[in-house]
Amino acid sequence: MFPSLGHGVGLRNRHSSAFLEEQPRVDFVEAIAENFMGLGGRPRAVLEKTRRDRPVVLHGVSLGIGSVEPLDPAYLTQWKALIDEVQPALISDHLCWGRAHGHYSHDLWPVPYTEECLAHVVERVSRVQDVLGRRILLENVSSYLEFRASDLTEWDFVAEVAKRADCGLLLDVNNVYVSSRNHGFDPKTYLDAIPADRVGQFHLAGHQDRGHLVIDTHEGHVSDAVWELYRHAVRRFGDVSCLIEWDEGVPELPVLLAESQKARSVAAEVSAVTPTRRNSALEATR
Amino acid sequence: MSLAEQQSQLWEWVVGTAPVRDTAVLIKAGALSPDERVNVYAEMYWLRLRDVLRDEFAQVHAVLGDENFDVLAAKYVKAHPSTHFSLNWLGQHLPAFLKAHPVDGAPWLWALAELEWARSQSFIAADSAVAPPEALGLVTPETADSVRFTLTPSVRVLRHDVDVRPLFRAIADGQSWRDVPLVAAPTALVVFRQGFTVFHDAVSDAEATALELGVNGAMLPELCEAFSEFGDDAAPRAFQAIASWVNEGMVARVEV
Repeated sequence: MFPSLGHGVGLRNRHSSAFLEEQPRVDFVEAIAENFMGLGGRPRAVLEKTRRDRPVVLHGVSLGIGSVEPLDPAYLTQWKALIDEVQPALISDHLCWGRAHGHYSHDLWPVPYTEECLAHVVERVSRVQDVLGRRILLENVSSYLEFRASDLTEWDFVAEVAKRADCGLLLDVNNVYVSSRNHGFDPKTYLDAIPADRVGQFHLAGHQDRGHLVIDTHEGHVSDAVWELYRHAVRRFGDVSCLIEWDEGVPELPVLLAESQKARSVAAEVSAVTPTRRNSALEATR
Repeated sequence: MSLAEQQSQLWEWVVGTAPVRDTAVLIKAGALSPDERVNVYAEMYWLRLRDVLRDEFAQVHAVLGDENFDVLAAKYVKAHPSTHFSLNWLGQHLPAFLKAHPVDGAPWLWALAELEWARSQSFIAADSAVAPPEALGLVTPETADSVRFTLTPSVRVLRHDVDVRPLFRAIADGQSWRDVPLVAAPTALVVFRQGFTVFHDAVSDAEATALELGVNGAMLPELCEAFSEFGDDAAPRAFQAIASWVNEGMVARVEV
């Protein structure tokens, strides 16, 4: 079971002064791990102040768990050092690949959903968790292509990785929606296939709808369709830590906090009328 | 096709080292063709790296404008694809790339790029202790040969054939860089961080040499040797420079 941290926002440069000099009202904050590995100065001071005030979770973007390139030992060493220093409540990265020929794409590319890739990812997750000394959450990515070789659905692949590697999942509800539109599947089918006890965090974000293509932009407000899917996620997974991602056209902090507050209200509404997995379990113990 | 073969093929399409064709072998169709789907990733790859370089080298971008900067960025990314897990390092070779491939009408641009890069690296350099002014009290006639000075990780030393400081100031103030007369002259700059603020300033050639030594830690006699052109005045000049480094927070440790 993963800690339920409430509703949080990403730590972004635009809001660094607020987090350094004030105490914004937010339950937890997510920081991009690579932005702090081995570095100091003001960014690190902001992170230190933030983690003294509230729980921090660290979110990686460069692990490349699905890449066939060997895991980068220097990267894992710095990940471990940062974890030891920051003591985050949760750590996560993406179920994707993005390295080849010794180079980084700095993007999150989907993997083929095959048994070969499944075995590859599971083995690497186990090694990463051994090095880091704790369980990692893997996030489903948004995608714009599917490999012809895939013979599993994405949701079955994700669920199997979590079970076989004994890791957690960061369920990005917006990414499920974006991919469902781009590939023509029912996003609720996806959510219903994910093992409830593996989900340790949600992400919500804005996207750009071009009609024939939906792009995961992390810009703007969460769409009505994604809020609806979030309601379904809360009914299924319960009181899971939920973070708003807003990385392009980053708004004033009050706007971002209001979006996080909306997520809290939506979750509260759902929990009030629906016995969710976690509050049902709680009531059963009374 | 193996997992490795699939990834290698998609990589080459996306980063542009192979033409986007015969994509249906690897990628499913649907509302978009396989080519269009690959191109979504190719566009994202390029725009992400381009935007990082625009942010990192905002002054070079200001000089070149969008179109010319993007031409430079495209050539640079092709020559130096990212080899580091952090995008913070993407631009590490750009100053040298500009020096090797000078821009028409702006051969000094590499120096401006190097100053921008040094400042951004100084801003995020690892934290360290800063020696207090009292640490200079460790230097006595008895200890002079065995005192070691180590600078903070934020210190960078640059050597250029033109002084780009007026250019940097003008662009930072939103003025036109075209109005700034550039003087061709050997110029050494030191970049350092005090608290959260990054500074840069000109230093003499001798002081630049001493600073370069101090980055990895240097004994006082080595630092004095950097000022040897001043003869008997070398030691006083060295000590004057070291005192200013300490006062400006550039020295991490003074050890005997």
